[in-house]
Amino acid sequence: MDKKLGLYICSGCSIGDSVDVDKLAGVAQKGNKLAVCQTHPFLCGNEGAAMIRGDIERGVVDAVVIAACSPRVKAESFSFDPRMVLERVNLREHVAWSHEAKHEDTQAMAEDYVRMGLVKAEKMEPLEPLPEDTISRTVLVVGGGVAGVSAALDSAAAGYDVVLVEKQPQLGGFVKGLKKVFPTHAPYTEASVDGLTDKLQAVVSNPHIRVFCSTRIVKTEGQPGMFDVTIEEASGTSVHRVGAIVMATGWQPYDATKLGSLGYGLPNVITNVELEQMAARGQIARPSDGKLAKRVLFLQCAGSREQDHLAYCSSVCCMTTLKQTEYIREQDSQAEVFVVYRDIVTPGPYEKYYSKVQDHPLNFFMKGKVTQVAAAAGDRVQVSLDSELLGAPMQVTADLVVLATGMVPNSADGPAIRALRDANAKLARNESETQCKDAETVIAQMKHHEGTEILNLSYRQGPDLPVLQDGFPDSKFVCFPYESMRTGIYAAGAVRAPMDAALTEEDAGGAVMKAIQCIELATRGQAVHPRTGDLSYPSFFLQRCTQCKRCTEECPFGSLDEDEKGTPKFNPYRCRRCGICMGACPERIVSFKNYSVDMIASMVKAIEVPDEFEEKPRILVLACENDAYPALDMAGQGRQQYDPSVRIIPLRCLGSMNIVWIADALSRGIDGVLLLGCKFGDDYECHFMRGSELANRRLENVKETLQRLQLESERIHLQQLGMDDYARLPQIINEFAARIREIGPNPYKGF
Amino acid sequence: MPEPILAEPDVQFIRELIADGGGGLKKCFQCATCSAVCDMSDQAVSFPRKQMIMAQWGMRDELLKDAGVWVCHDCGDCTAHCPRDVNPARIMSAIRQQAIRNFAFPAFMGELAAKPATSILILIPAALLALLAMLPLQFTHQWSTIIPQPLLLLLLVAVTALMLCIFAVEITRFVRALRAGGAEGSILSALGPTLNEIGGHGKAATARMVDFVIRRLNPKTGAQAQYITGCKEEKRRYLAHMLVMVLVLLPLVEIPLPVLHPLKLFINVCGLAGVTIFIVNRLRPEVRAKSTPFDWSLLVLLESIFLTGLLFEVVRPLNLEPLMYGFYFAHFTFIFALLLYAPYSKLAHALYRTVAMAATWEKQQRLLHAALVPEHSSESHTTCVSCGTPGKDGISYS
Repeated sequence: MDKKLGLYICSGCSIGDSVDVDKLAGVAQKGNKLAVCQTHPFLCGNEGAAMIRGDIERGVVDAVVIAACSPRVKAESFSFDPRMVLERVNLREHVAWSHEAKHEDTQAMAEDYVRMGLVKAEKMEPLEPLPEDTISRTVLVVGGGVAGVSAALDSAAAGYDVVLVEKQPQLGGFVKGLKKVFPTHAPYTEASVDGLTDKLQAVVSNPHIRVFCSTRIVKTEGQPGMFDVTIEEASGTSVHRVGAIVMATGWQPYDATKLGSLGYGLPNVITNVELEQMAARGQIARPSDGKLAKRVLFLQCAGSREQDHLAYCSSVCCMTTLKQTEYIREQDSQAEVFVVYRDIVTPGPYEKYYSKVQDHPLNFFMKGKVTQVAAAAGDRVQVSLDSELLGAPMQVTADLVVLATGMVPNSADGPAIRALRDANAKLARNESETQCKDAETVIAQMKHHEGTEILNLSYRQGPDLPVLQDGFPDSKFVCFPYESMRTGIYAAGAVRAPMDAALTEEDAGGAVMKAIQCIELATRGQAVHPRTGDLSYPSFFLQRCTQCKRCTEECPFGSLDEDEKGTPKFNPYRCRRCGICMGACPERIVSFKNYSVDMIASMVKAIEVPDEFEEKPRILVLACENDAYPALDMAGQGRQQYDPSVRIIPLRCLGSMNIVWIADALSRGIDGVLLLGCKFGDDYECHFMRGSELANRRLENVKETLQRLQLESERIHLQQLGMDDYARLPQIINEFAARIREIGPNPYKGF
Repeated sequence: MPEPILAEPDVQFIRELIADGGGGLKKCFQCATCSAVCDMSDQAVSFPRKQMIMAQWGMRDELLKDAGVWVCHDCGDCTAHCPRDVNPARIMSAIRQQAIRNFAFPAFMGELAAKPATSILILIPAALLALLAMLPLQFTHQWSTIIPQPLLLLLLVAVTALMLCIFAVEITRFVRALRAGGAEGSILSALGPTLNEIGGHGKAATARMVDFVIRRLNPKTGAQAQYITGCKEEKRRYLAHMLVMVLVLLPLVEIPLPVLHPLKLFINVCGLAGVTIFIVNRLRPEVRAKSTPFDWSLLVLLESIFLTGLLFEVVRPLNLEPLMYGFYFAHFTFIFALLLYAPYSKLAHALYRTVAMAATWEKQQRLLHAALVPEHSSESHTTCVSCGTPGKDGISYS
């Protein structure tokens, strides 16, 4: 069906001062069949927007191209039916504000952008939402400690039923076993006695929360909105349909047997957890003879903030020690308590507690590094340390030493378990010798992951969440701290990051809000973050699929499972619409209704490329919409000028870049391709986890091809940047343009 | 490889410090703000932060050997900036109090002087004098019927000699401790410059004092009194100290001079004014709250001496006999009390501090100059551009 395309050009915000909009309109009409072509001095105002709306309502147009400001602004002025074809062409930030007014290059740029926008709109189709599915509004909470219990109560209070699964025979987790908890209210100078009884009572008596203790998860199949979770209790298995999952599996103490250098193994050296257990049961006594300790020494950061042990601070050990000094004091008011620390971490109002504990004449705090822990006469313990405060070595002989150890998350490393299973499968299948040797190496490395599964996801990419090196679930932390790399599954509490009970309660609430958001968006067929509300979704032309498995492997969220033949099976509710699958597919069978390989390729071909005698190079800039495009906008807002030879095409993620675009660009005579995307690596900032990294890897392959074609590989460059690099952008672009001019024009120009 | 410090906190010491006004002791969390604002402190010496942690850990022996505790001129900047209300200045005072108690000879006198009940010790000189008064001897002067003048003089000399002997023992112990604590400078050779320093920074002493007074009377005029640059809190004390120093001229009062003789008048007025300033200062609510009997007893004693002396001289021409004899008796009782208990009271700081300063003279000079005279901080000089004191063998002021 032929589209009724309408082009609306705004001359406001000094666009009209920079380019000749009437001429622009003329050029557009000559090249395209337009139902409407209008310029307006103030398009986002009431009159302007009404004009567009009127044309749509009267049926004059059914596809709209707005050439005005950046698509990142004025969405509310230009909001029409979300399914309608709408393309925004950036004439303001990317043209008028960042280039010389009334210059022929600026005019040429505007004309190219309008042409590109029109060609894309021609190929776009109105969006159709996902076929209606029955979305479950139940939340699965994994773990019944303070995090899980808080999450369950919050979820039920918000109107979403809960299935709560707990591995132990009773709820309460670690907090239940504590003698006292950190101060919970002003003036924060007294440890509170009971942390959890009320909440546990509330959970058990709430009709919207089904509690399963002594239960494990056998299998989690499906996708957000339609997870089918098989659980196993003593009495048998059952399957539950849930919409989202909150993982609240908590923590376990760091293994103190690794702290022999700090004296663990000596009879009177215990951990803070062991001390707490003793205190909760009754008296704190020396393990060697059961007597009270007259002098207790606490070693902070035991096995924490060290390369060989835990690299991070667990944030609760200092407060725990302070609390435990009071236990000791309750038993014996004359006991001497020493605390050897590297730093004291008592955030917020806990500072008042620190001040109070410090004030006792028999509490002694010393900043220093422990150099040795040795046995002394009478089963006492001699601790040697380098005191930073006195600038001298010190020695303290104590009756009891307590190691303040840290928290380790109760998580399972999904990809590692999968690698282990694949390696075992390889051995079982009796593959070639090299394959088997590789498999054995993998097994040796990954063996300790055996049997650690928690969620048991039936995902091709692994049975659990991908985790970072310390075991915490991976998320794009800077922007999306609650997220995990599996859509619809949210981590809360100490499994997400070390935290105390008070912060955990808040954290659980946050994760529940994310879970609810996911469920609600699923009911509308919309994507979750970062493309929240997106109605588009990829479709796969499976007839041409060659089962190469690139999309199933490269999808950061494991949206694609496989059948036995290896044909990808798409799970739309796991999808975040980044288009990485589209970029990966060598057969180009993946497309969105409003974003496809063909659309972008057509945009590239719509760029007018001057011949080499005009000495005006053309550079294609593929910019990801997450950090790069906003940086370009901000450079424009700052009126920073840059080389007018660039033509910017926004991508959802650099990972959605298909190599064919580069081939098309070069064969059209475009002289260089600059890819701008978020940073990748250990401290990655890519909003889709590894899009820019994938783009970078694909580029390596392209460069090889280029060299065979006698094209300089420097013509293609991937630049990582953050949004805060907007000030550097003009320099980056200009330097690349200068480099391209140096290399010379593309020899394929004019072909 | 230095010997490790064995951590055996002296809990009694800690409790005593807290009782002597160091209540904020344990609150210090070693942020070193006090050291950052302290004139006595530099990158190598973290003062008074280190003293605070040593006090927290009851390291009594180390603190008693520390000269820094005495070099501190109690300006109060540390307390003013402490974020935790630790009041390090007060804790320093408490440590000094402990030191006086510790080096006291004989030891039991040190313990007694620390208690408020000490005031009954006043009875000892009173008893002595009463004894003298009862001797049946006839002399020419009118008031000698109460106490014979030659005997009085003899007693005065004897008590002074006793005091000096006791001080000698105490200072010897103190110096031994300082040496053990690392203060190696020659004390005798540094004594001259030290006294100069205390008096007000050498040649410019008088000029600075006058300048300071003028500035106090009229803040808008007068150049910057550099001696007190860093000391924002206790400027009053400099004036009061200078005024009370007139005590050294006290023996001249004994020459029979008419009441209105300018010298006598000068001594009386200065002394009284000085002590009154001290007392008024200590009556300020924030200072009063942190004062102990140890602080008050000396002031009360001094004020009593000047008041009774002045009152005696007012009453004498009027010939009001009972009052006259009463004031006279009281006056000398207080004088003897001051002399006898000087080695155990706060007055002892006059010697302890001087000796400690002399023992660390070279080092402190560098620090003090760098703090007070900005041009010293950035350039190298072989002599101080301000007062001309030469640097020694490669020690330059920078």
